[in-house]
Amino acid sequence: MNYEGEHLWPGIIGHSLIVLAFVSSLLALWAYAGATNSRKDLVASNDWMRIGRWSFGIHAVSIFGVIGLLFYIMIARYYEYEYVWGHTSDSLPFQYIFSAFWEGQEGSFLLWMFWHVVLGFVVLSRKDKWEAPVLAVFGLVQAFLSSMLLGLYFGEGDDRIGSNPFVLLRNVHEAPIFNMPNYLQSIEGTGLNPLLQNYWMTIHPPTLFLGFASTLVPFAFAIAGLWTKEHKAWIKPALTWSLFSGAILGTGILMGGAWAYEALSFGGYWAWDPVENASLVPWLIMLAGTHTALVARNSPHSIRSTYLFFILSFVLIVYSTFLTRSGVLGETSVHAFTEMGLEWQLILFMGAVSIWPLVLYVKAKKEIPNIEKEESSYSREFWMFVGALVLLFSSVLITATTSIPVWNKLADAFSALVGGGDITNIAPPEDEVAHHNRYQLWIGVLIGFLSGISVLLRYRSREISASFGRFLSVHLGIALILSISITIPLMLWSSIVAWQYWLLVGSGIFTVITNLDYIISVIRGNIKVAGAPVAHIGFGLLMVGVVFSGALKRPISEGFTSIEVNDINPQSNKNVLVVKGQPVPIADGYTVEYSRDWAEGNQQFFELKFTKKDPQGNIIEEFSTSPNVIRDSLPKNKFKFRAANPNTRHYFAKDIFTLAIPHWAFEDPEASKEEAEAAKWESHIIEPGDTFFTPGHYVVFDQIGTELPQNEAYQFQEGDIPITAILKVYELNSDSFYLAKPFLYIRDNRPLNIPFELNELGLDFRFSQILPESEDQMKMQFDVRSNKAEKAYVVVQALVFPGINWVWIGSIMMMIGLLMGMFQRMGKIKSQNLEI
Amino acid sequence: MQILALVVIAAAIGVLITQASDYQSYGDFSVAMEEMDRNHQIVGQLVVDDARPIVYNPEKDANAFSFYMEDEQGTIKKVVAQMAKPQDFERSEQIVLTGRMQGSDFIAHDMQLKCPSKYQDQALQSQKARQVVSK
Repeated sequence: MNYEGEHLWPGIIGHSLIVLAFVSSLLALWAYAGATNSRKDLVASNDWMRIGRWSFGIHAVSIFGVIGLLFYIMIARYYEYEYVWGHTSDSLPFQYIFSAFWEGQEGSFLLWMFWHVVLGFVVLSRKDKWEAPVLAVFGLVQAFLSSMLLGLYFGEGDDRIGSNPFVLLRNVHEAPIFNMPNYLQSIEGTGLNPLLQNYWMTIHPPTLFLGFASTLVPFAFAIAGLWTKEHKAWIKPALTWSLFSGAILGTGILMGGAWAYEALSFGGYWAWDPVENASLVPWLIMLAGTHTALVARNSPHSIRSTYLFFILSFVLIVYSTFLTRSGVLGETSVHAFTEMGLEWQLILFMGAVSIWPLVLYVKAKKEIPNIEKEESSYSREFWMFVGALVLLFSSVLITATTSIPVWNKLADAFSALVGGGDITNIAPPEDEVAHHNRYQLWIGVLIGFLSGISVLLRYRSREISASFGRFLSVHLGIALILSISITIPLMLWSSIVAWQYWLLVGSGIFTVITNLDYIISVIRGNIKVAGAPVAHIGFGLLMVGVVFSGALKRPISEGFTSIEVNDINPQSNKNVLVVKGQPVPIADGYTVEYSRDWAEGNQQFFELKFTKKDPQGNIIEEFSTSPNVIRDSLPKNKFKFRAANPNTRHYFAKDIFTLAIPHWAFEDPEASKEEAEAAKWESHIIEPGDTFFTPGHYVVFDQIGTELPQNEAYQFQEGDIPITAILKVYELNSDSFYLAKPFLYIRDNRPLNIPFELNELGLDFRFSQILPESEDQMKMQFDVRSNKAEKAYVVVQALVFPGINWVWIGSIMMMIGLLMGMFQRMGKIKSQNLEI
Repeated sequence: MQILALVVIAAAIGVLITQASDYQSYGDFSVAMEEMDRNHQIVGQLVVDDARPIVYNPEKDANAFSFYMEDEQGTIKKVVAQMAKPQDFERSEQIVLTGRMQGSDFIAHDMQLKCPSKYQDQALQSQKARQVVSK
C-alpha cells in the first residue's frame, strides 16, 4: 500500500545513525582498550588512540544526528512516527517539545548518551594518560545504551534488541485506519501528559541525567586505575570529578523534590518513593567515595574503599535505571513509567559494569597499597572513613526496602528453578515515609556530629598534643554548649515533643557552629578552601528544615472530622468543601472563601481568599492563592479533569500550600450528560411507613404533619389546608439520615405544592398529590429528582510547612560547597561568581 | 581494625533485620477479616455497577469516598477510602489499598492506583476517516 504524506527518510537515516552509534562505540572501546594495553609502546598506542578518537568522534556525530532528526520529526509533527504521535500533538506549545522529547524512554536514553558524549570530550580534551582507559569505559557504556535503541527484531514475534525511536506508528499498532492510504489526514498526536507541561519538565531531566552521566567519570577513572595499575594517581582527577558529580546529581535530585513540592498535589518534597531513593543512593555513595578519596590523597588508607565507592556509585545508577524502566516497581511506586520490554538488556548492562571492575580488582588486589598499621582514632582520616561507612550504611538500608519488588522476583525465580511456585509476597511498609525516617534520622544525627567533630581534627595526627588538645576542648566544648543553648529554646518554642527530633536538630546546629568556627578560626576566612565547611553547614541547615517542615506540617483546611471513620488516620481530614461565595471557617482561626475563578488556555484558576480575624473582627492576616487545574475541553461545555496544580504562598518562616479541585472534577463527564437528560421527576406512590429507593439512597416516609414550610414562595392564606410530609433520606448502607419536608396545600380546592430542596444530597422532593383509594388507606405521590445543577464549589486542601525554606537554603548550600571544593581542586577560583 | 569491621557488620545486619520487621505482605480480604486489628495491604480491581456505585459527596464529607473492590481471590467488598476521589479513578486497572476492616467494610487510609497506558491504543481504534479542519 502506498501511503500518502509519509516522510520516511528521517526514520531511515535516523535508524542507520543509531546502528552507526552502536558500532562506533564498540570500535572506540576496542581501540582505546588497545591503546591502554599497549601504553608502553608509544607508536602502537598512538595508532590505537587515533582510531579511538575517530571512533568516538563518529559516535558523537551519530548521536547528535539521531537527536537532531528526532527533534525535527517532532517539531514537524510527523505523526507517522510512533514517538511523535505518542508524545506531541498539534496544540503542544513549542517550549514543551523538549519535555516531549525526553518524556519517552528512547528520548531519555538519548539525553543520557548526549551527556556522556559531552563529558567524554572534556576528558579527551586533556589529552593525558587517562584518556585511553577512561574513554574505553565510555565506549562500553555507550554501546550498551545505544543497544537500547537498536530496534532489531528477530524471530517471529515481538522479540527485539532495543526500541527504535523512529519506528512507524502503523508498524506498532494494528488499527482499521491503516487500511486507508491517506490515514495521516485523520491522525493527531496524543500529546504530552499535562502533569509534565511545566518548566520543571524542561529543566529537571537534563540536570538529573547530567548527574547520572557524571557518575560514569569517577567509575571510569577507577577502572583506569585498576587496569593500568596506577593505584594512587587516578584518585586526584577522580576526586575533582566526584565533586562535580555530587553537585550536579544533587541539584538534579533537589529539582525533583522542588518540582513535587511546587507543582504536584501530594503536598511534600520527598516521599521515599523507590524512584527517588534509587537516585539518592548513588549520590550518597558518591559522597562516601569523595571522603575516602580525600583521605587516600594523604595516606594509602582508603584506596580500596575509594575504588569500591566510585565503582558502586555508577553500578547503582544502572540499577536505578533498571528499577525505573523495567516495570518491576509497578505496585510500589507512583512513578509508573511504561515498560519497554528491555529487562534483559538492562540486566546484562548491570552485569557488565559490575563484573568488569570485579575481575580487574581481583587481579590487582595484591598490588593495591595498604598499610598494616591502623589509622589512629585521633586523626581526621579515621573519622572521615567512619563517615563514609555511615553513608554506606544509610544506602544499604534504603536500598533494602526500595528493592522489595526485586527480592520478590528473585525469590520467585529461584523457586521456579527448583520447581516451586511464588514463594514470597513481601509488601513495602505501610507507612513508607515513617519507616525510612525512623532509621535515616540516626544517619542524620551521626553525620551531623561526625562532620562537626572531624572538621576540627587534623590529618595524620597519631596523638593529640597538649596544645592541640586544649584547642579541641575549647572549640568543641563551646560548640556543644552553644548548640545546646540554641536547640533547647528553639525546640521548646516549636512544641515538637519527640526527643529524636531534638537530637537531630541539635546535631544539625552543632555542625553549623563547628564548621563556622572552622571557617573563622582555622582557615581564617579563606573562601578558596571553604568548600567542605560550607557544604557541612548546608547539611546542618537542611536537617533543621527537614525536622520543622516535616514534624510541624499540618493542614489548616480541616473543617470537620470525617464522619465516615474518625480514628485511623488523623492526617486524612485535610479536605474541606468550599462553595463559591460562602466563606468557611477552618483551622488556626482562618476562614477561606472561593471568590472567583477564570480560565487561561486549558487551565482553570480558582482564587482562594484566606482571612484571619481577631475576636473583635479585625483582620489580622489576609492572603490569596490561586491554585489551578488542567482540563481537556469536551463538547457541550463540559470538561475532563486532568491534574491539579497547587499554589503556595511563601513566607520567611513557613509556606502555605493550597490545592483546589472543582466540583465537576468528581463527576464523570459522560454520565452527567445522561443525568442531565434524565433530570426529571421520578414518581413514587406510598403511604406512611413505606420505604422507596432512589439511586444511591433510600427514603422512609415517616409521617405527615401540619408545620408550614420556611419558604418565601409560600404565604399562608385563610382556607389553606397544609400537609407536610416528613421523609427520612438515608444513603445506602448508612444509618444517618437527612430530613426532607415536601409540602402540599389545598387552596381553593386545588392541590399545590412547594418542593423541598435537600442540598446536602443534591435531591429535590415534591409532594404531588394524595390519592384516596379507600377509607383506611391514604396513598400519596412523591416525586424525586436530582438537583446537582450549577453549584460551584471546590474541595480545598491547605497545608502549612513551617521552616521549609531551610530545606532549600541548606540543600543549595551543600551544592555550592561541593562546587567550591571542585574549583579548589581544579586550581581555579572564581570567587567573584560565588557571591558568598 | 578487624574487630571494628566485624562489629559494624553485625550492627548492620541487626538494623537490617529490625528494618525488615516493618515489611508487610500483600493479603486479601479474607486475611483482613481474620485479623481485624492490624493494617493490611490488598491488591485488587475496581468493580462498578448499579448496586455498587462509586460514591463521593464532598458536600457531606470531603475526606472520604466509597467504592467496591474485588481482590485476587474474587471477594468483593465495599471500601471506604479516607481521601478525596483521585482523578481517573474510574479508569484504574489495579488498586493497592492499605487499611483494615471495620465491620463489613474495608477502611483504607492509603491507596495506590495503576492507570492504563493504553488510552492511546483506544484512541487509534476509534479513529474514523474524517476530514480534518485545516490547521
